[in-house]
Amino acid sequence: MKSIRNLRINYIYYFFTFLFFLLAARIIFLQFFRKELLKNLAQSQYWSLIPLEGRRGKIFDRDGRLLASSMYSYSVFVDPALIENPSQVISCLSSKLNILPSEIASKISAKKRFVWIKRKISLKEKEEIKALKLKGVGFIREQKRYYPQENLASTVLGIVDIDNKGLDGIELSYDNYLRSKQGWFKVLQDSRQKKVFLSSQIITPKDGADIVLTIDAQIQYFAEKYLFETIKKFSAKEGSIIVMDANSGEILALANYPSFNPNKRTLNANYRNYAIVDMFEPGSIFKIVTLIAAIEKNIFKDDDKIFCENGEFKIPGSTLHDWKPYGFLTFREVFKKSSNIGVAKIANKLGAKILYENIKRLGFGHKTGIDLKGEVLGKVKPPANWSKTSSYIIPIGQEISVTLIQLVRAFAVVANGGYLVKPHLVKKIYSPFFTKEIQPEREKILPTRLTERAKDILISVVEDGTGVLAKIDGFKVGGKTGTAQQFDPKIGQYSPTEYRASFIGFVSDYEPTFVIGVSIYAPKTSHFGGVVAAPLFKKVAEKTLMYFESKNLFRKNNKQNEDN
Amino acid sequence: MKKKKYLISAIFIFLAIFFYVHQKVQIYVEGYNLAKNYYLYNEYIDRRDYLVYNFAQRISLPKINEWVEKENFSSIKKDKVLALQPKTKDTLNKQENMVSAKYNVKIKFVTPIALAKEQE
Repeated sequence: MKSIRNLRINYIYYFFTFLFFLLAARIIFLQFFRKELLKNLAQSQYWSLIPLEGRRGKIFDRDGRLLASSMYSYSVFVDPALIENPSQVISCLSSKLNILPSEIASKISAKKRFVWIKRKISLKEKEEIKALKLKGVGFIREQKRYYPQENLASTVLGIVDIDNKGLDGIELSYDNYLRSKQGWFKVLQDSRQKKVFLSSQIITPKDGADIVLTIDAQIQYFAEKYLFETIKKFSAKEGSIIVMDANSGEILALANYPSFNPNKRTLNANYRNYAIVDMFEPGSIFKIVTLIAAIEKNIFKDDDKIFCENGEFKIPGSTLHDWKPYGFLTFREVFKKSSNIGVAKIANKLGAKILYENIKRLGFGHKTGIDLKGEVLGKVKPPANWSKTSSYIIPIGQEISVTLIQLVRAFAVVANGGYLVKPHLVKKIYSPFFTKEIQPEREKILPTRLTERAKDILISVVEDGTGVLAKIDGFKVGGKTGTAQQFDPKIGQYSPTEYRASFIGFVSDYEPTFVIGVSIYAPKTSHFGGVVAAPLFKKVAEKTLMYFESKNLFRKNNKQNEDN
Repeated sequence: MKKKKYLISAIFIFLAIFFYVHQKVQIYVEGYNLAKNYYLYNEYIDRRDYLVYNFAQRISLPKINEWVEKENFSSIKKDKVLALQPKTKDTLNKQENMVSAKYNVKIKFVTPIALAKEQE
């Protein structure tokens, strides 16, 4: 009996010893062979990484006025699994955020642990919702882009998407510079997920670089204001205006109508930058090519007479008309009075090859290289593809497509003494780590004596030619008007009602020399460039001159004070 | 005597451990406060951003220009600049001379402070 009892006790003893060794083996296994895995698992429960967002770079105008910046805002999300009272959550969020209850209900019923309700709400909305202490509703702090000047220069600045990535304009072209780099901060978190800042491990975020544009916000305002007034006065469909420094290619203003408010984006707003993405037949403005080619070849003197067929000239396949019948006109008068027949005859004497060379030399058919995405080349047919009519009508600005920026650049060649400049919108990019100044790029393509003669003829266009309404008292203004019929693809021919009225001009003998290009599409009450576009040029130029004068006055006075 | 020694050592050890644990806890308390201040700091940043945004909306350049036009302000012209109490070069030179003369007098008649050794 005693031996049986002892045996049982021994069996139990051995059994428990075996269990003990099993346990010990398991502990040793976990401690030695699963050490790293378990350590990481434990650490992931009590260590957390907080992302630190850098700020997207700011955009300023040339005088330091803020055009675009970033601020923090909150986005609302829900965790459907944590919602206790769905109807309460739906009604509260719907009333505070102005969203349909059905929309919120469908999001709450999703089988996910994270659902966005609304991105980037105002601080007031966030505080109101937070005060309700709704379970399952949370906020994430994000950056939101805002534009303090609202509509001003909106087509130049462009827009960003919901994640602050550039979509258009400067925001897109310089997205690599403007974008910030995220940093991280390692923190301890307790069992209630409260953060304890104990670690010194931090990766500092990098803010995006700031950009200074060549745009002058005050000139931009003048351009936009008077463009809008002109569009309304003539009931036009759309229009653009560019103000550019002829010597450096710096764009002082670039305005389009219609435009948009980047702070309140809507689906049907216009985001198109017509000045660089729309190509059109320029009409009489294009006569500058024939003017320059003729002066260079020195075939005509200013007083040489050309017979303008009394307003009707038969050409192969068509008939050319002048807006007013002329008999004999001098070489100068042909451009002053914008005679199509006169220019066609001059161009024919020069020949297609010379004309084409000058078209290309003045930058048509090439991108200008402006620092905005979406610029188009325009359409220039090579001489091999010219028909018998082409050599008569291309010089008067038909059968050729150009953009407004190309026209402005071509006129800048005359205004600045023969340099083809590269238009650009950015002056400087800077951050705590680097500064990059954009240097003007230009190439001498015409001798100064040639451009002086061309300038003189263009001044006569404004003095007593078709551009008389662009005259400014006390200043010598040169330019060219353009009134071009637009091709209507619906009827397969030039529209009898839709015109493009343009004027490109410059103020001569003034520093800084600036060129202003205006193009108005489909004006109704009048369609002449001299009537629609030239007065707009005059208003913007006058305001710009007054603005420069007042700036110079302050600059002069400051200098005097420093000398004293 | 031995008992007293043990008691004193025990007290010292207890105090040492107490201060060590206190220090550890203080670090964690500071960590929590830092976290709280970080979120408070963010809140103030948010309020500041919204104030700046609202302010910028109200005084944007187009709004200032509209106000200027409404109030009929005109640009400054050369012939309309006024200077009040302009100082000529002569007046400025006279003032400078007076100031420098005062200092010259002071320098001549005030005894320079010398070190004790030099004075001896």
